[in-house]
Amino acid sequence: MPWFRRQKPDGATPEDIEKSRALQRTFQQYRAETEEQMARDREALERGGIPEAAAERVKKTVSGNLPWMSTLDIQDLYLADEIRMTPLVQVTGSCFYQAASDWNGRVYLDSNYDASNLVYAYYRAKNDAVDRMRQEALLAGAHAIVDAKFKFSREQHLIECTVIGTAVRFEGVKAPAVPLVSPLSGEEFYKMLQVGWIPVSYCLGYHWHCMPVGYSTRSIQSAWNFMNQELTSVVNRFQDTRHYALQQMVSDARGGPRVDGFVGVEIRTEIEETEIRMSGGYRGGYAGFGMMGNGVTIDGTFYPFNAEGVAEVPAYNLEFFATGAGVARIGTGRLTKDVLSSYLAALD
Amino acid sequence: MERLNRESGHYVFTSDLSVNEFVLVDEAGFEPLGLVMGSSIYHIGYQQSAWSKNQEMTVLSQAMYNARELAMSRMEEEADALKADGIIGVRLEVRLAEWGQHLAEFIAIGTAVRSKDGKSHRTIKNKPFTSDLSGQDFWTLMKTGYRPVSLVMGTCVYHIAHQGMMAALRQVGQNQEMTIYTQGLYDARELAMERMQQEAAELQAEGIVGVNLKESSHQWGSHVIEFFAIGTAVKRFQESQLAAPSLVLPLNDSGR
Repeated sequence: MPWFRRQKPDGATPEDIEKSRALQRTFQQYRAETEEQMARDREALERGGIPEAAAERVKKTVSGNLPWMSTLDIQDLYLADEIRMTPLVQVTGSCFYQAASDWNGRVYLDSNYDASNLVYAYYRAKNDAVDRMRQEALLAGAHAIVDAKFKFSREQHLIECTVIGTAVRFEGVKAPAVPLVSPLSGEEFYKMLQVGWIPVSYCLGYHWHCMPVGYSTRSIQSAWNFMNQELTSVVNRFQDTRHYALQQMVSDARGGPRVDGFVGVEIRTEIEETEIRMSGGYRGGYAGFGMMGNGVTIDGTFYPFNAEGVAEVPAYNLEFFATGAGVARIGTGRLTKDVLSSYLAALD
Repeated sequence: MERLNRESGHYVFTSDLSVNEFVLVDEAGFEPLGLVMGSSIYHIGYQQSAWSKNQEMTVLSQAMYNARELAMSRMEEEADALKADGIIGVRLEVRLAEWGQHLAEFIAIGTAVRSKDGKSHRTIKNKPFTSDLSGQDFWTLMKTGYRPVSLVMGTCVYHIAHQGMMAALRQVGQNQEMTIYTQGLYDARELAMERMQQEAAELQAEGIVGVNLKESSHQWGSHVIEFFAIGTAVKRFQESQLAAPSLVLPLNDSGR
């Protein structure tokens, strides 16, 4: 008797319960992987490779032993079909990268108050994740990875980058040595190809700057200041931060095949109030003696060192995060197979 | 049951299709029979995890999977009662019950359809086909020569190791990859995808479209994550009948 046709609405009979159990026994039974397998996977990752299960899945899918998979939705698949682009397999990459910190778990700032370790960690997380995804795509003999969806997260100074995309092949075209990466959706990829452009890479522009502030800046926000006034110093620093981040994005694009510009750019900015601990360093030992040893003067305020030789200075964290698709112009109008073919061949 | 009795003289079909969807489903050669639902309220068991180790929480994985399958199979039973060929627009939702610990409600809901030409589109296990595609997507898929076989899924609940004090101290002042996290995430994702692919392979599907990978930690805290992979398994049954599209760029920027 089907579940919903049962006679007793107020409570299940023992038969009902047994039926549900029996049904559950017919479902796929999940098995966890072994400790040895996990250890092997960790070693592979440390070598810069990918876990065995990922390689296995790609190989089995491409050889036809398992059904193909694609993150593309139906409309995208139809457009893919139209430009003779075949989805092969879903490809993924991940990396957790930890930026160096001090004993108190604070990230180091360099002399310019830039958190260059954090910036480095963002780029490593992204580059390693993309590299691992490319390894999967290479195993599949793919020409490009489309619809690559990136996700970044940061917890303290641990950066995670994860990407999931679909490896594709263009019919009758020789594979390039390194597959292209497009963070654009299948439909957007199609549109770019229609007007003579091709997405080639995913680029990141990131910068983190910490700006210590003192009286000159803070007095503007005081409850007794009734004037309209710009926080010009913050604006200037922010301008610089944005400038560095975009510069980084351009140099990120220079690492791979030619990029003529960015599209589909997403920008996130954040300003956060914080405080930085400035250490007197070796001068700390002279605290109380020399003029320089007593503390630091920032922005019109004197912050004295405490007993440990550390001054706590209020600061703003300025974060600028931009990502986008690097695109290259390789023809005019709708791209033909020959143009695409010679472009990919020239990449080697 | 009264709602699903099509033999009664004045059967009114229920559905959650929009007008566009209804028209396209009709165009694709199917008629809606009724809204079908299935649910399962499931007690998720307990499993001790080792604090400093990566491991799959198989008890939890299996619970999340079984409960979803139960909800789906009850929905399929309702569709069977309607003599349906398949179910489209399936939504599979999980709600953690607030009225009981470790309880979750799994709901599957969709619109049962039947092919108008009387051809059967049921799966090789003689169950109605299921798919999370909307009416529009369903129409497009059929026109490209593929038909949906079944909604396929795989899940993996995984405990990611905590870092010990000593390990944390060794890392002071170093930029480095945390391979233990990377490996945990990789393995959880691979298991979920592999299980989904396995389901599709058993149903002799050729591919899986619209794969969605969701990562969530429900109520288990930040070190336990569930990877849930879901997609529609498809099979080719005819040549594509679609004409080449023309490029239309909308001038409003709502598409961004």
